[in-house]
Amino acid sequence: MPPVTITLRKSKMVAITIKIGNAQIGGSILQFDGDEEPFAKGRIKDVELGKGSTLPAKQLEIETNVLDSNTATNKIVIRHIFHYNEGDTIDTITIEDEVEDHRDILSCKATYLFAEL
Amino acid sequence: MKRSFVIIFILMLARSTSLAQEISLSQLTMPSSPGWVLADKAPASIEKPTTPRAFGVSLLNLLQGSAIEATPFWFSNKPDLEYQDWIRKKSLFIETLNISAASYKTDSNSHLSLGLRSQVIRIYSKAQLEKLRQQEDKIIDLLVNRDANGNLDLVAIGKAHDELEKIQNRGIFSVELAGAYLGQSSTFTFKDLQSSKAGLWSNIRWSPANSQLDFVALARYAWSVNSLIDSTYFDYGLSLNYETKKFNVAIEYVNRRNYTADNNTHRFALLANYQLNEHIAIVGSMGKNFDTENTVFTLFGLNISLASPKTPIGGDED
Repeated sequence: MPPVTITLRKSKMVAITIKIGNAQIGGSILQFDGDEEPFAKGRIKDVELGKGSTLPAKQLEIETNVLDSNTATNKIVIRHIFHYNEGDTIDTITIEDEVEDHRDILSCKATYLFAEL
Repeated sequence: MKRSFVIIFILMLARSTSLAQEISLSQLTMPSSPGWVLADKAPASIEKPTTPRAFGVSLLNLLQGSAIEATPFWFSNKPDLEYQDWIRKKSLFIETLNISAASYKTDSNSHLSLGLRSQVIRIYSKAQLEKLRQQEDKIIDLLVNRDANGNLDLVAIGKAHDELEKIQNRGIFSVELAGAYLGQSSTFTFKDLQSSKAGLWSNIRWSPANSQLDFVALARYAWSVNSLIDSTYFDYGLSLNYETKKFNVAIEYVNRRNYTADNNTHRFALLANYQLNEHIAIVGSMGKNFDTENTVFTLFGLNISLASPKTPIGGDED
């Protein structure tokens, strides 16, 4: 997946929520480029990334791993939802894929750049 | 001495096998693919379309003689349906509505069978929902932690998933419905299709969280027309199953109102087995079938299985 640029307001606090759809089970690792340790990992809900003014200098790497635990479908759908901390959505990136067999794990990586509105 | 022991052992085994065939559980669980149950066919290959387009193609193939099984709700992605939402959902009629169909030809007729099945209600206890949430957290934790070589612990993830599936099957109350239709045409055209069999099933199951008990209540209505033997009956009954690693016991009672014969009959089955080791189990059973007057007893038997690690309790669909 090529890098995606998220355009945001510099005065507001930016957060991210990652939704694993299709009743599947998954977790994500968030890491800013150059950092030694992940910024956050596990279930990602309303995780603050920083003020809009501080993000354009950074590059965010997200790895999401999903276990196909739904016997009814092998399809995987992941949503990376960038939003301000009061709730307004900035951008939603949807990743759709399919695993071959039940219990397989899908691993996908995404890179985000930020720009001021 | 040794030789006579072997002969006695073989006789005991043969006796056990023959009696075990006479009385078995009628599987009060729902048929997984009701469209094939009435046809009494196990299709060699089954198309499982996952998109509307593939479903359309499969339907066209069905007319040429094939079998399909599909759950249309999952034809499209559901990005907002997270695992936690899924296990909290109580009404799942649309989500679990499964279609099964098959067509085949015999020397004199062509046949088409259609079946629907759905888990209409599924309710987990609060304690079980909390267990599921904790197990989901455990899996998520395993999915975001890699070892020094950058690998996920796939064995631990597999075990955690097995445990999740076990938890999903306990602390649950569910209601399932199914229906099936079998039609036949002597002219090998679908416009002359006439119904020959149909059936409706309803199944209520309760599996308490902190025990190995399973309660199942069943009602089913089945009728056959245009076939050699007309038959219409209504069954209702209960079963109770208790299962541990080594010991299984199952009891089942089903009453049948036979509208064709205008009588009431019942069947009763009690089965138990104790697994001595991986391949040998002590089996005991007693019971009575719908069509037998006398009770059939099996006091004692041994089952030796070379392929299956555990002797299952279960039997033929009645």
